[in-house]
Amino acid sequence: MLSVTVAWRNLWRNRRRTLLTAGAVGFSVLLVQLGMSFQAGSYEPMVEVSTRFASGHMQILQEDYNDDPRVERFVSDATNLRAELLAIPAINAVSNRTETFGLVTKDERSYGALVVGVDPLVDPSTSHLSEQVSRGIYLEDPNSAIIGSALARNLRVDVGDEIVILSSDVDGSVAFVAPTVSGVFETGNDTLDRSLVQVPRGLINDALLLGDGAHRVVIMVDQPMFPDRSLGTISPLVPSTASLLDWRELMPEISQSIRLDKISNGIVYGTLTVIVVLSIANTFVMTMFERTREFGMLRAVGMRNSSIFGMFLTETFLMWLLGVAIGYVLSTCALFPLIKFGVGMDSMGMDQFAGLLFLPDRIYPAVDLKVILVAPISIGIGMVLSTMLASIRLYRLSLVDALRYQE
Amino acid sequence: MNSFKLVFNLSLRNLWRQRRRNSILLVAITVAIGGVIVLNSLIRGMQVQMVDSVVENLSGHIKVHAPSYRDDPSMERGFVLDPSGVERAIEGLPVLGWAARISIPAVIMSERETRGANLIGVDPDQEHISIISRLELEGESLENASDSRVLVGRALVDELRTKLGRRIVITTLDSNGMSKEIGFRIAGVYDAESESLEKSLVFSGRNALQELLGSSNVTEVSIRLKTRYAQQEDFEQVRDSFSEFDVLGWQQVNPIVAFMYNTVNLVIYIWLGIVLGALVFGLVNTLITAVLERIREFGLFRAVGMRPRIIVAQVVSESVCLMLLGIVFGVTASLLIFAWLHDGIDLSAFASGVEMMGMSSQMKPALVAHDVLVVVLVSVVLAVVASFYPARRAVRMNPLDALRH
Repeated sequence: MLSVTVAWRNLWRNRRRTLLTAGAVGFSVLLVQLGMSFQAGSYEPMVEVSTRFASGHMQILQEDYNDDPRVERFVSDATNLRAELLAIPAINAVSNRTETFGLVTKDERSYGALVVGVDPLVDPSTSHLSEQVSRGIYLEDPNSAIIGSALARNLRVDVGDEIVILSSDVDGSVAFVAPTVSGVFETGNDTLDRSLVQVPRGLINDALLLGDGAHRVVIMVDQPMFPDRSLGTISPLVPSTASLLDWRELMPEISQSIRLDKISNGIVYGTLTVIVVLSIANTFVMTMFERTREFGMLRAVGMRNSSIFGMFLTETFLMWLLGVAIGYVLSTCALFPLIKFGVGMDSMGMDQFAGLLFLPDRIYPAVDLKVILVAPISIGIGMVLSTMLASIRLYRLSLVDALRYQE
Repeated sequence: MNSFKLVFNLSLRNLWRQRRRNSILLVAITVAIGGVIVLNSLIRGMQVQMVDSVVENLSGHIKVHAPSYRDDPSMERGFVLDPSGVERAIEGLPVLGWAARISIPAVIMSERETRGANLIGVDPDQEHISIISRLELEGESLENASDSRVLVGRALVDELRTKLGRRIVITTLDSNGMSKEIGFRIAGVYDAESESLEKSLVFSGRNALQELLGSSNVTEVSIRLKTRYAQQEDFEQVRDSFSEFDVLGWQQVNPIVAFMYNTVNLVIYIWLGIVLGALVFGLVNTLITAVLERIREFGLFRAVGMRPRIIVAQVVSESVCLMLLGIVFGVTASLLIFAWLHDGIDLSAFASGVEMMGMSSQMKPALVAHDVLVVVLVSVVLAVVASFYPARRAVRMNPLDALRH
C-alpha cells in the first residue's frame, strides 16, 4: 500500500506532464473505442438487411447449385425438411424457394427475369419483400405474381394484368405459367426492381415438374453473426446430396467487405497506438533522467533495483488507470447519445445507396467486451515496454555515478 | 542574419545534447508522418482506381442518352446518330475519343440454359476509349460495326453451358417494342477482371444490330477525355450542344463511386487530424521539459544580454528543426514503402468485396504531391504552435529568478 501511495504522489510531482501523458492515453482510448463501437454496431445490421434482401442466414441447396444453378438440382421433399428444421430451437424461420430464369412476356414485349417461387404464408418471415409491395397486394391467389417496379414499367404491366412466364422444366422442355400480377414492389435496389418476379411455389413447381422440391431452403437463425454455432444441430438434417451454406459463402461480397473494413481499421488503430506509445516512452525516458539522483539516493539507503523498478511500474500502472478513466469518461459521454438515438444514414448522405449497399436506415454503435478492452490493453502493454526501456538506465548506472549525476 | 545563424546552430546543438530523448520523439514523428503519407497514398490510389475503372468501363467521362432512356432502356428510346453533331459538341475539348453504342436488356438462350444480360452494339474502331478494346479474348474479336457475331463473357458462357463457335439466341425488343429472337454465333469469349461484368455484357456489331432490329438508332454516345477528370466547363459545353438530351457525367452514372470519391477527400483530413493530435501530446510534453530544465540557462542568456525574442525563436526553432528532421525521415520512409508497394497490394482474397465498392483487386497506391505538402505544412505549423507556449513561459520569468531556479 505504501508503494502505491508513494507512486501516486510521485505522479503529482509533475502534474502537467502526468496530465498530458494520461491525456494522450485517454485520447487514443476515445478514438479507438468510437471507431470500434461503430464497426461493432454496423456489421450485424448490414448482414441482417442484406440477408433479408436475398440469401437468408443459411441455405440448404443441392450440391453445386450455388455455383452453377440448374433447374434439375433441387432439394426434394422440402415441406418435410422444413418441418424438421423448425423443431431446432436455434432456428427462427425456414422458407422454401424455387427459382428459375424466365422470359416474362406481356403482349409483344418480353424481358428476362429471375422467377422465384415462394410459399406466400411463410416467406415473409425470412424476407422483407412482402412489405415492399407499393401497388396492389402480396401473393394471395395461387395464380398471382408480384413484379419489380422497373420491370413492370418496361413491360407496360400494372396490377390485374396477366403475364406469361416461359422457362424450361427439369426435362428441358418448355414450361410456362400465366399468372395475374397482384402487386408491384419497389425495393430501391435497381437489380431487384428490374429483374425479379415472385410467384407462389405451387404454381411454378407444377410447371417445372419439381413436385415438392425447392432450390433453396432458406433458414433464419438466432445468432446470424456466429453461423458456426448452429451448424452442429442443423447439419444432421441436411440430405446427403445437399450442402449447408451460410451467408458468408452465399454473399461473399458482404463478408469480405467486413473483413477488409476490419483490417483497414486495424491499421489505423495500430498506427495511432504506436505514435501514442512512442510519445509516452519519450516522457518516461525524460523522467528517468531527471530522477537519476533520486534513484541513486534510494539505492544508497538500501532499496534494491527491483523495488525501484517496481515503484516505477506502479507509477505507470496508475498513469494508465488515470488515462483509461479519462478515455472511458469521454467515450461514454460521446457514445451515450449515439447509442440511444443512432446515426441516420441520411446525415452522412448515404441514404441514397441504402438499397444498393444493403445498409440499414440508422446505425447504432454497439459496445462489447472487445470495444472496451482492446485499446486499454494494447496501450497498457506499450506502456509497460516503455517503462522497461526507460529503466535500463537504472541497472546500468553505478550508485556513485547516479548520486553524482548533474542534469 | 547573424542572429538567425546563431539561433539555428544553438538549436541543433541543443537537440544533440538530449539525443536519446529527441531520437525517440523523432521516431514518433517519423511514424506519424510516414504513416499519414502511406495511408493517404493508399486511399488516393483507391480513389483514382475507382474513377479510372468506371470511366474505362462503359461510362466514359460524359454520356449522352435520349431523355427517357434511363427509365426504359430500349431501342425505342434511342436516337439517330449525327457524327458531325458530336464532333461539334466536343470541338476544342481534350477528347481521347467517343463511341456511339446500343445498350439494351436482352435474354440470352443457349441450347440448354437461359440468362439475362445487356446486349451492347459497338463499333470496334471507336472503342479504343473503353475496356472493350482491352478484353482478353479466346477466339476472334469483332471485325467492324457490321459484324453480326457476339463476344460473350467467360462466366456467362459457363452458365449457359455453351462455348466458342456455338450459336446462341438473343431475345430483345426491336424498335417497335416487339419481341424479336435473333441467332448469333459466338466469335469470342472474353475474360474481364470482374465476374459480374462477364455475366452482364454481351457485345456485337452496332450496325449489324441496327439492321437486325430494323432501326437506325443508337442509345448512347460515350465521350472519354484525355485528362483523368472532366472539367465542369467541358461537361457544360457538351450539355449545351445536346440540349434536348440527357447528358450525364460519370458521377451521375455511378453515384456510389462519386460519393466514395468525395468521402475520400474528407477521410484524408480526418486521418491527418487524428495522427497529429496523437503526436501533439508527446511533442508538448517533451518541449515543456526541455524548457523547464534549462530555465537557469535561459536566465544566464538573458543576464548576458540576449533578447527574449531570440530565446523564444531558439526554442521554436529547436522544435521546428526536430519536426523538419522527422519530416525528412517520414517522407523518405513513405517513399520507400511506396516504391515497395508500387506493384500493388493483392486484394484478390477480397475480390467480391472490393468489386462491390468499385475497386480493382490490385490496390495501387498513388502519391499526390498536394497531400504530402499539406502534411508537411500542417506539421510545421504544429511544431511552431506546440513550442510557442513553453518558450513564452521561459522568457516571462525574471532573469534573476531564473538564475536562482
